[in-house]
Amino acid sequence: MEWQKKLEILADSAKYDVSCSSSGTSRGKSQGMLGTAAAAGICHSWSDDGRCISLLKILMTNVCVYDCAYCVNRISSDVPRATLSPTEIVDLTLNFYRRNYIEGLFLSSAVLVSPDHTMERMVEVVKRLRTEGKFNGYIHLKAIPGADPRLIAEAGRYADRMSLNIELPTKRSLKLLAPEKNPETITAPMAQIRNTILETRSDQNKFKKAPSFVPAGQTTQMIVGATGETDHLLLNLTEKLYQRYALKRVYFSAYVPVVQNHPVLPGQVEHPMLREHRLYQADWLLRFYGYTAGELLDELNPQLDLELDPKCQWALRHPEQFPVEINKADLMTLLRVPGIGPVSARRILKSRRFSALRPEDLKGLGVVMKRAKYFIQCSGKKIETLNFETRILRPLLVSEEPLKLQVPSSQLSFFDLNPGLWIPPSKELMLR
Amino acid sequence: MMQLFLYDGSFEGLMCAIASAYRIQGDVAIQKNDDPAPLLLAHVQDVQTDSAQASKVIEAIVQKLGMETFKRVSYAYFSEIPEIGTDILHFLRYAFKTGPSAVEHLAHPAVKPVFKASWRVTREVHLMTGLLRFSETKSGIYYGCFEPTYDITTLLAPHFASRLSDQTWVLHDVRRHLAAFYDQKNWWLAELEPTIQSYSDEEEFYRTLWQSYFKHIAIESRRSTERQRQHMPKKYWKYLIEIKG
Repeated sequence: MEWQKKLEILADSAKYDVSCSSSGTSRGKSQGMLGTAAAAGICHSWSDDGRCISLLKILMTNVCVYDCAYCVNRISSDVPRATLSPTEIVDLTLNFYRRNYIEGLFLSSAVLVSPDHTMERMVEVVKRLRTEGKFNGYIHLKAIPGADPRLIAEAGRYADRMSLNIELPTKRSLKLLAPEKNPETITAPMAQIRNTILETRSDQNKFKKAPSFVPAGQTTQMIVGATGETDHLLLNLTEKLYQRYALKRVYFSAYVPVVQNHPVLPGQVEHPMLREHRLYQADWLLRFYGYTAGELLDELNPQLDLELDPKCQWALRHPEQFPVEINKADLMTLLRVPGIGPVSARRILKSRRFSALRPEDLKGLGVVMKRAKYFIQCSGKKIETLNFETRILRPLLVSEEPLKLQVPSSQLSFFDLNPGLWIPPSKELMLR
Repeated sequence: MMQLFLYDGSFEGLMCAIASAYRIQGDVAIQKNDDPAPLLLAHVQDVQTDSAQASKVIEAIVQKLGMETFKRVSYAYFSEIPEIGTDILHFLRYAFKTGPSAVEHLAHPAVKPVFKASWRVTREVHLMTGLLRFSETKSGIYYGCFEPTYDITTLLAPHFASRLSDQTWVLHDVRRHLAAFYDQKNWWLAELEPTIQSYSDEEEFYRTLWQSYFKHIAIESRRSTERQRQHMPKKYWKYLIEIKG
């Protein structure tokens, strides 16, 4: 088969994986090597679905011995199959990189013959890319559940980031839809990677030349909407994953129906992108705003409100916290105001040192006033004199944000890492 | 009457103009000598560019106000906004009075215009680190052309000098007839007229592969050209290989 055909098949099979992030490692040039890594990551293009393209995201092969019901590459599925050789993948990556098409490689794979066989070949690719290809750019490598721990250990020496996809959030769903996998084959390597990262870090503190191991950390992905789990369960699991496995990121992937007439899987999903989007917003609140999963949802409110972003949902349930005084509040309090993010909160702290801020100054600092105005005051002066009543406020907040989608950027924005810089007005888009 | 200082368009020239205008009382403006003159009657002075004097101004900015302030000023300069010379003058007067923290007073009228301009330039530089495309010529040189809104070749070249350090490349701003050349050791700027390149035999092969990759990585059922254009404005499509402008 010619290269082009193979590449098409293997890009097609990889496209449902959400992550394309190339962030987390900062690496300058190294003598005789090709490439660098930028801490904030760089987007090289945006595909027709509006997602950022940063890495060459492909499967090594889509020939699979498993039969996971939700997966387009399951053994019983009737799709064209292809396998790229290690030489071909190395050549493609280097030549795309030299033309500045990509930041690096994101290599995943279906299970060819066995987990060990697959992982061995994937390790060969990254090893050759680093040693023969002298490639110093970004590599994200998917670990194959069930592969020998020694292979995972070797892979981590060459990869910037590794990931194991949970895909189905409960044991029950896993049993139902992916009977050949079991949770331990996912959590055991996750724990192994976490431990090795920690050991490496302490070695690197002792010896300067200690070899690196997955410097950009590990991530995972869960499918949303294929099985009946609530947002409450998903967010709690997400929080546990951050705490227990020190993951860098948990990705959510709205289920795309790839199977027709399945006894368990839905043929159609309601608002899949919007639900995914709300989960991402909640995930940001966990990671950057100091919220806990328990604050956002509980058993009585197990689902995120699709009409309102999770921070507004929280704020409306907590009128006693508002209004927040812009000229006095500390960082964590400012972060809880709808319409204020980490960048604008830090700018408020900086700018108010030289003079008290007035309501008209806030827009210029990046505060989204149409949301924030109900929740703040400046030097004792309220901006909106509305009574804080959920009944009144809710429709105002909803109508001013009519199902708009903030693009779930898989890339940590360049501007998040440079908080002194101006941030563009939120990249909001109409969903419909 | 307004006093108008004209400089030759170079960064050094701007620094000298600022030195000349700094202590003038009353209405004062700084412009490039080839920008259209203001309608108002003005007393016009041509500023001679003197690199020794420019160095003194730069040194004062870096030492008294810090690298961050200098970076903002130089990025704002590359925006080529006609009023930017005057904006920088007002900003520097304020900053020398206030100290290194002035650059953080984003809501202050003397800071805002410079900050905004430098932000726009920073954004375009960051975007172009991803959107620039190199093509391999018959002679083995990687040639990348673009038409940036701002004059960012100088700011972009160091990124590629470090990233593509083992290949010879040319970064060509076709609109400004300006190019950065890199010989695997150093990079430098020079004038370059628009040229027609002949590409290596392999070039077409990798372009085709990239085009089909681009097509197949999109989830067809979630097509959103609106979102695509929001991130990747159409003005940049002309030189993208994967998409037709």
